[in-house]
Amino acid sequence: MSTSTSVTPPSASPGATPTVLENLPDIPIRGGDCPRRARQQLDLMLLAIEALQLGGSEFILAVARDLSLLDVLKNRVYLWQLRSSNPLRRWASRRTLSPLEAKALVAITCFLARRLTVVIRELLLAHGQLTEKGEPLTTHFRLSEYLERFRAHFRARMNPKRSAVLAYTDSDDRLNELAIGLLRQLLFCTGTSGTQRLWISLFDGEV
Amino acid sequence: MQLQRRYNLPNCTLVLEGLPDASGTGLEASQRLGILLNAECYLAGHEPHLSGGKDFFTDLVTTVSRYAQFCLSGISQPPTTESSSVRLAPKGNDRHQLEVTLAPEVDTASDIVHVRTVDLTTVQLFDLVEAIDQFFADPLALPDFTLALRPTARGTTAPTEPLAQRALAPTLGIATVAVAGFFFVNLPTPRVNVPGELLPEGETAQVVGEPDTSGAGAGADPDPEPETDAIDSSPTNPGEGGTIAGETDGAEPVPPDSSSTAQERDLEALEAAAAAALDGALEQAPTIGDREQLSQMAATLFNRVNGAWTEQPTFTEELIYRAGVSADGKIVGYRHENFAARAYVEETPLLDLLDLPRPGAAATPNPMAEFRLVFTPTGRLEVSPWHGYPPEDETLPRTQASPSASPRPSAQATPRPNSDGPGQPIASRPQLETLTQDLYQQIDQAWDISSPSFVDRLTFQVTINNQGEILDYEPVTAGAGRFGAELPLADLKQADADNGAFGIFRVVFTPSGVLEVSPWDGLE
Repeated sequence: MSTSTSVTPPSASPGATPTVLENLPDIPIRGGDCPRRARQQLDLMLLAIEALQLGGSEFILAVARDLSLLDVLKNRVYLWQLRSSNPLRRWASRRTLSPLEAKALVAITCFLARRLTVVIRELLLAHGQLTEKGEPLTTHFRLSEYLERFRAHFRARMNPKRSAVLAYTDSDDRLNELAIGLLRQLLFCTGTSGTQRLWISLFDGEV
Repeated sequence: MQLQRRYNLPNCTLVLEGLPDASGTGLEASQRLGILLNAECYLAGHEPHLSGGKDFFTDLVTTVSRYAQFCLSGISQPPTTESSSVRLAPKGNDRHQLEVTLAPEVDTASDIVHVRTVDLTTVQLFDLVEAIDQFFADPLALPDFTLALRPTARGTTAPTEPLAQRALAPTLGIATVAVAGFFFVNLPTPRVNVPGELLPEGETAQVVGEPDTSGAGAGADPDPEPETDAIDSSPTNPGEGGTIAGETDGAEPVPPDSSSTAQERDLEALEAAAAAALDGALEQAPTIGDREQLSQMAATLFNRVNGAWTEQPTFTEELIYRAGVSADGKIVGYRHENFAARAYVEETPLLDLLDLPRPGAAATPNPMAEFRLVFTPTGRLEVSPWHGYPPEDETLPRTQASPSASPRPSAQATPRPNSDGPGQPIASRPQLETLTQDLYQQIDQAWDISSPSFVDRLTFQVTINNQGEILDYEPVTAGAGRFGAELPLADLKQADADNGAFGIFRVVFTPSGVLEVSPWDGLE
């Protein structure tokens, strides 16, 4: 298996594209900034990762350091600002997400997803089996733990005044569906070409 | 030598068999699978496996790769070409249906096309995607196959909502506009009255936005009523104002006329005649200067005008008229003093009450006085002598005031108290300041402010001597005189005081009980 992302370059010259992002092509976007759906999708996937792994936000910064992406993501506050470009956020900032910043978030998401491959597969299989048997999802400890954490994260950080958020926060079932859907998407990120696939998919219907 | 490449995933195994690329040389080229002979796809739990040649494999990797992108973005891809032998479609939340059209077996004679359907879970599908991605990443298998990922173009995406749902919003919008439009069309067109001042001389104002029901203007529709002709000729010369007066006294001065233009002209004629009559009367008639008589005339005039004023005011600013009134209370002429007064004259009873002099009567003019008539938008009428009330026992010297003369009393026009001759006006600033204080305290102490019955500020012009004794006073604001009983001025007035030197002050009583005293001409 060839993975270009596993190699950490010694140092990159400032201003140049970090090596891990080189295999992500530039997409000609209208306006030059990432579309709304992309900003929302990246933040929600990171939210799912945080729900999968305790202390997920710490890992995100650690991975950024490992992948030499601190030039792009700078620090915790800056990362939070980038994620707040998700329009659904409670404290949604008006700022946009540049393609380079989005690439960095894609690389981190896929890197973390790859680390969590085993968990993701296990939870998806468990969900499939429980659904098939018609049993409640709470019977699987890890799955119910993930769903519970995701719901809590989502309700705490998303703006309840937005109708798109309200549609989810009204019922646990809809939030569970969203959490499982994000888990499936994370599964596709764990693959050999997961980074490119996620990156390209962010611009579906936008070019 | 046949080569084989295998990609093993938990739920899927992809096996490619073929021959090395003949064009290349060297060890790597001999190991590289360049010509695909057979591809096999083993999916766990789905026997038998899928297999096919290069066409099948090409369709498989293309379809699966595109479908993986759909799984990530949720944006549906444009439908694959009809010729593709592999199809993938979502089936419920966690299921994906793989449809493979199998080529007819060579050894069976029939042309029956077999379609193999396989239901995959998301994890199984991902393993298939991953096997294909590993094949793409493998430098030793089919180098002419590359992973070409592209975002779906904007126009090609299939809509995610059914047509009815998408059409609902625009349909509702258009329906709302249509309903609103229907109601607005049925609203009556507002009438727009073009002010006569904006039109060139000789033209008449017309009502815009309403069809002319009379059919035509006065010119096209000769009016049989004789009044029209009489009035048409009158306004040109003010001296001939009497031509209108050919009518009998008390007759309706405004002839009823169906034509609005004719009516406008009548109005203008009447106004001009009224102004001319006022000028003429001022020229010839002696002025009434008696205080008592003026007061009586004001009361009569107030009653007459107020009684005839029945129309609800539509104007928003005060209408001020200067009217000449004969001793018997008839309005012999008037002149409007502001623009609103001209525009809204029809709302006042002035034209009805106007009593233009007969042609012959001008020779023996009756004594008259000028009054200030104010119609307020709140429906209140104010009547006061144009030049104010003269002091007792003295008549106002006849003034040839120009029509634009200010009604504000001036120092020269201020009546003096009974005296042998005019005293000296006090002009020294410190003395004026002291007198202001004295006067203020004098009036303030005497004024019982418990229940003022007036609602407007009442202004008086007060003359005092250098001792601070009130020699005389007169109301300045219309109506101020009527509240004299409430105010201490009459009690404080000392007509027999020394009037060798005098100062004139402005005294204002406000309804809230505040007293204001200041020198009439300021502290200059």
